[in-house]
Amino acid sequence: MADYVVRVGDREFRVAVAEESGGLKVTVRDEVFFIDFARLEAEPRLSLILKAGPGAAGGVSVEVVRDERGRLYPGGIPLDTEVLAARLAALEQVRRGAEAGSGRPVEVKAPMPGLVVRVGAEPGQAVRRGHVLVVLQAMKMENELSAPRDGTVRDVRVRPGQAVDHGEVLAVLE
Amino acid sequence: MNGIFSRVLIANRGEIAVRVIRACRDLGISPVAVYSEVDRQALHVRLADEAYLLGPAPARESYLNIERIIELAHQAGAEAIHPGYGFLSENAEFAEACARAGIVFIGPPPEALRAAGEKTAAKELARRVGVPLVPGSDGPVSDEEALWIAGQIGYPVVIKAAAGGGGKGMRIVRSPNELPSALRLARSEALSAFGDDSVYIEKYIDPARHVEVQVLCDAHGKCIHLGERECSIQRRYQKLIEESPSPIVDPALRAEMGEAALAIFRAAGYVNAGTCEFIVGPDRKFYFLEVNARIQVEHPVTEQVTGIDLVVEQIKLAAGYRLEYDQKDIIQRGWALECRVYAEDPDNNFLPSPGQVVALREPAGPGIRVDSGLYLGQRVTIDYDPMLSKVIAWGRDRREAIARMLRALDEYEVAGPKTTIPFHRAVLRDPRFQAGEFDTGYVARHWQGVPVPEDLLVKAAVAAAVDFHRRPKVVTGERPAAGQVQESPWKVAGRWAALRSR
Repeated sequence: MADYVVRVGDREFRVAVAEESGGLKVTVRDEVFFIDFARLEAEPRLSLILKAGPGAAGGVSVEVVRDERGRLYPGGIPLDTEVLAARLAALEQVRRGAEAGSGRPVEVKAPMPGLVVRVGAEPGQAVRRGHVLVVLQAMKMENELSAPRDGTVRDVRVRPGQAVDHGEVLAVLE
Repeated sequence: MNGIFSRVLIANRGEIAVRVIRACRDLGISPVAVYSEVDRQALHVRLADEAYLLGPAPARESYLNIERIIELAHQAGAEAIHPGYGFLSENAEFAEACARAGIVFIGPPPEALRAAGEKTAAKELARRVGVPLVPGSDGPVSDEEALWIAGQIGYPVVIKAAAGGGGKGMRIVRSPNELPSALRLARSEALSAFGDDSVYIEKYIDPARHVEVQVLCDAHGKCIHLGERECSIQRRYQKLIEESPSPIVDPALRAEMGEAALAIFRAAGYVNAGTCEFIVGPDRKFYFLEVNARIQVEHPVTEQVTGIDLVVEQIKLAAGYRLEYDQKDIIQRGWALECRVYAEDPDNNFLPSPGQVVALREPAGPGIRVDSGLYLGQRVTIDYDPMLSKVIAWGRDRREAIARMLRALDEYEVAGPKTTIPFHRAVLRDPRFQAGEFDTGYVARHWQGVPVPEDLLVKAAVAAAVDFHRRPKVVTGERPAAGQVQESPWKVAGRWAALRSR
């Protein structure tokens, strides 16, 4: 028997898994399933048959892609997923609590590789949510990246004409 | 076939290159592919009989490199070039270069391309033959002229790139103080997309529906139309869902729009396949928008309802064949829809979402057609347009076409880049869409992204937990007690890295 905290996107679920003679017994939110679990051999897919009882012949069939980074694609929708033993999750919670309320700065990152066409703010400038900070050209389109909240621009790390990578920090807001 | 080409070079990539390869095969023609360095593994390269390297990834050095493409056509012994859509498809200089090189350009003659494909020239043509135009500037405008004209015709107005299409360099402006920045953005986009920053301005019809008419003209003076396509579901002025027929077009309006389109194509001396785009206002009055002098992305919906293969027709018309149909032979049967699958995040403003395709399952079954360049392991890069594939559904009526499309979309799985598939699932289930009540503002007005259904989240959580539980555990340092769960080291490392960066 093991307790896990599973983060799927921005949601969190507690899932208990136990090895039983008929397969895996899984408890999630008061629901109990007996699961026939298979990892496909030639594809990065998981297949689960959720049965109501250990003796049941079958039940709900679930298939989900899992890439090598652990991201799941239920219904083809990519969701970052993380599984933690419940006790580690509790430790992390304590640590996070201590850091909360410090008003951490927000990093505005490039959502894809591209070319900076224009910069819409200077360090020290006060901006409202939605103010265009950087215009990034990629896939033939100009994409406006705007401030996710009100704040002051602490740092602008790119210049027009500069090529940036996916995830690169373009500006910092505080 | 008699006198048809034996070899055709396809100067394009992605799904349209695959589509043209299929048309070539149906005609017994040997297809020749060209590709850029990043497309070495692409489907069109592998499906063609021969494949030739163009050059580095940037389009200017590959799919837009006229000299290189013609040189390769000679090398391969191709008698004709099919340009697909985008890239060189509406480039009159390319059509002329083909002619000089003794190669047939599968598209309209250069003069017709100039007369119909360039927006301001096409408007002049429409005016001459009496097709109604949206009020606006007669041609490219300076910033000062734009301000003056906008004041005359009244806001909202729309700025468009004179040389462009596909919504690039296009901006809606609702008040005079928005105009300067909109002009700047439009010119900059137009310059980078088309190498020309000239823009024009016209009144913005609202609510508007986008309806276009497919036309075929042979080199012997016959022009027919194949009915309309409705393409009002758009984002950033780019089409996402198309259908034929249109829910708002009845036989009388169809005949009227068809005649208007034919008048323009005849006046342009047009040969080959082309489309006349119209805007239809709330009063069902229609206005000429532009001519697309090429095969269009959404051509399959017309093929599904008319039974005519438009790409095959293009090749035959370019070889000088006569049209085998009269207008009375064109009958629209049933209903067809198309959903475009883009590597874009519909939950984040449709921003491009590059990445590697790690799993793929394409839909099939009755009434479903998938035009796709996708393959497992494909790296979707930012070098080109992010459209990956198209799902086309046919049914006896609109309701059946929608039901089949939903079945196909639910089957369709592209894992890796985010795609527009969840967007399509939501729109096709929207009662407003099902009732045919929408306009070009639908996405901007109604689309807010869709939350992932709760049961999918629960199932994903269970799958993740079980997968983690059943993963071979790596023992490091002290041996775990019997039954104790050991974490894999990469997982722990990843998590602590994440904690440090907070």
